[in-house]
Amino acid sequence: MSEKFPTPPKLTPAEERIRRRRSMAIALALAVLAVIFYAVSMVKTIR
Amino acid sequence: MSAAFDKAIDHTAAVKTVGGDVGDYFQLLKPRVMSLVIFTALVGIVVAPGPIHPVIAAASLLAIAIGAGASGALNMWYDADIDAIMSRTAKRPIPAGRITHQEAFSFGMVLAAGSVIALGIFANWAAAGLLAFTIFFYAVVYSMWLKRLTPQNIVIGGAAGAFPPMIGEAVVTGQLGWASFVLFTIIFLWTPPHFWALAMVKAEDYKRAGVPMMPNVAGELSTRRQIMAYTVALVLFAFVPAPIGMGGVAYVAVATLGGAGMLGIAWRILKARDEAQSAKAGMQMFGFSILYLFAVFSVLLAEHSLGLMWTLPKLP
Repeated sequence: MSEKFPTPPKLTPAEERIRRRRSMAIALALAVLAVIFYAVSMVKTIR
Repeated sequence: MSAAFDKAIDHTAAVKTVGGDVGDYFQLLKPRVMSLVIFTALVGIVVAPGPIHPVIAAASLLAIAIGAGASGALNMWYDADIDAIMSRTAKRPIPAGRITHQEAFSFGMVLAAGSVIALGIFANWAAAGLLAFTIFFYAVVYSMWLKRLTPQNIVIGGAAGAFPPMIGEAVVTGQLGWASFVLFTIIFLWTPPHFWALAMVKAEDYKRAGVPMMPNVAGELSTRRQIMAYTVALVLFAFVPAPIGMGGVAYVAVATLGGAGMLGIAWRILKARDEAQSAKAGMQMFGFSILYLFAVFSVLLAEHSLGLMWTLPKLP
């Protein structure tokens, strides 16, 4: 299996930073989306 | 794992490029256009007849904004070749090589589908359908079809930018009414003078990229006349909200002052004696038209949301 999935090339510190920032942005967006869906559901349930 | 799978998926390719930074993806959303969409959709929500819960309104606005961003990303994906040629757009993420075509396309499609589904859940499916149509209109009808085909590209394609108030009204009422149709028409008439003024200044850019903008096809004199014609139509139509009870005295005052400014600049463009004067007046129109639209919509927003409405007598 390891031969078919070769070790990925090492990223430079700048590339690592870009990837980390993007991952954090995706996580934050998903969290915000979850909160919004929750809030909308609550409002629709209460009404 | 099959050989076919290994061939289709280059496991090393995904890590060879790390993709764009967060700022690059944000730029794909065309944030300035997005802010105008949010603002005009908000006005559509506020002037629509009927109440809406603030949470539903805010969530719907976010979905509309993301939909607008998706349109921008799909537009940048399709237009990357001409963006690379034009000085104004050469530094965008795709022509600059920071984001690949495929990444931009996937990003745009995911956001488009997500925003439409979210708006359907948050508000109603009529508004979601209209948002889907708007994304389709901007990405396919304007970007893929009209933009490279006809000098009327931004006239017809401009409708895409005029739909957000209609989506706003549909969010509240589940249908379309006169209020949002009036707002649609104001933005629709506003688009040609705004973009043709820029096209006059950037005519060489558009020419090199092969985009048939009005100044390159019909000539500058014809464009100047058409800017004046659309400006007159816009300024006159902008008074319509008053007699139908949508705009009050403050609105009439702003529409009058702003309209006078628009007509003054359109006159300066029409009567420009040389290229320098024409370019100067063109940039004035580009900047002032944004201010005009913002002012006219702001006063509608204030009159409806802050209870500042002092209406003129309604037509029978």
